[in-house]
Amino acid sequence: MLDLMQYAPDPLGSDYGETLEAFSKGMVAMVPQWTACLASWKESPQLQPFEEKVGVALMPGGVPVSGGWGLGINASSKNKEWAFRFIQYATSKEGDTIQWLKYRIGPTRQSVVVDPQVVTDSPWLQEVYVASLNGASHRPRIPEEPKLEDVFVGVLSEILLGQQPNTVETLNAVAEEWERALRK
Amino acid sequence: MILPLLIVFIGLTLYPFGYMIFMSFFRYSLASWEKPEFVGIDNYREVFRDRTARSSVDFTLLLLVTAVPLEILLGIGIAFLFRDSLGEKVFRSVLLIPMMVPAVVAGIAWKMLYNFEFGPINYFLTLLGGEKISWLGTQFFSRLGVILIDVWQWTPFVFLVIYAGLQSIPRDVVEASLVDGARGFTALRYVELPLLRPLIWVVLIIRVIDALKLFDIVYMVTFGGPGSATHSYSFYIYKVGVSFGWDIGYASALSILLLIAITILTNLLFRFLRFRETLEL
Repeated sequence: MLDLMQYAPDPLGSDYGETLEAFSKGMVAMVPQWTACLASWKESPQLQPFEEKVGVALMPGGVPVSGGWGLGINASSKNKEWAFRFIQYATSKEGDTIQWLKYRIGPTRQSVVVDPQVVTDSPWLQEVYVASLNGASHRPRIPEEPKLEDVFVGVLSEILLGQQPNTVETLNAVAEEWERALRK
Repeated sequence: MILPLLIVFIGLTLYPFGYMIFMSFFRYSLASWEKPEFVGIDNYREVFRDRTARSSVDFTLLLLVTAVPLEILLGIGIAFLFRDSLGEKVFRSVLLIPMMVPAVVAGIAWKMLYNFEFGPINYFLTLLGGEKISWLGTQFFSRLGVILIDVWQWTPFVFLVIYAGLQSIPRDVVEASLVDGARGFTALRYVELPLLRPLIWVVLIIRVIDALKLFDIVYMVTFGGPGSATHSYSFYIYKVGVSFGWDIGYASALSILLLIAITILTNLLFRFLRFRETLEL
């Protein structure tokens, strides 16, 4: 990460939106992102012709972080039945295909990944997406996760700022802080 | 007649405040779905072990000792400079704009001004042959950036109060000093400034309290970064209590400590003011 900093326009001063903007304006060559960004990038004048200029590859190291969205029904919902049917539709093969083709929301069904319509639209999906899911590191689904992430992001930023040494001792200090947060 | 007012006061002020004190002795996280557990003063102990809390105290103190004096000096200077000047009313209206702009809007505007690639500040710097500055990507410049915004936003408030104070100084006192031979700066230093002193103290106390509570600009412009460089104390309370923690017990303890710090500091300022008044009598 330290080595890559020289290639980023403003690595520690850019927020999420600015990172997307840097890529959509053609200022950076690569950006680690979720699939949904592809839909807005496809409209960017600087990235045309899109199919020739933009490609998708597995994250270096082969271990991307997985993210995901959930759908639920509120216990006090007045229309539980309809809500359930909507969830059924949204997670069906048809719903999953529409979400991918129109909005580039990563499919959750393997049948969508191998669907001929999807393969024609995005030939890279099968190889890259499935490999990404197979190697993915999943965010722990525990209440303390945001806190743990905040601690780690803070220390990581300090390493990149040169305020903390890039050593195992620094990571051990993070581990100690994580343990303290988990014991609470 | 005062009963409804009393109910509103108790319901909206005393009850939440009492509840916050009460919760500061509990381990209570909204994320864990567990019942609050009494932990005594553990939350308070944790504050002193928490490195991000220490870092947020550092930055808040830095803001207090840099932004607030600058605002007071600039506000007083501008009030004296524009008094009785040509186009005074226009200047007065223009100067108040930063204070009237909502912090969210000001935050977005400053974020664009500080933008590394497309921001006007870096554009003019490069026009003048300088290097682009990562305003939001280094500890020094991001802290400087927040301090500059605070000075930009709140100097008009100091100006407004001092300017109003200047209008209320009896002209005969100033004229009497002029008859006695005081000229320009002497009249200002020995007649007008002492008459404005109570107002300056009030402004100082209000700004100290406000600086200790700074949140909006940090949230909008830097979100506390890079790292924890621009975490103001209030912003850290927000992160713990809402954004990344939902840790109500710990956030309550942090809030109580902030309240104690503000109370002590304002009391010290009032005592100092009274002490000076006693010396002068």
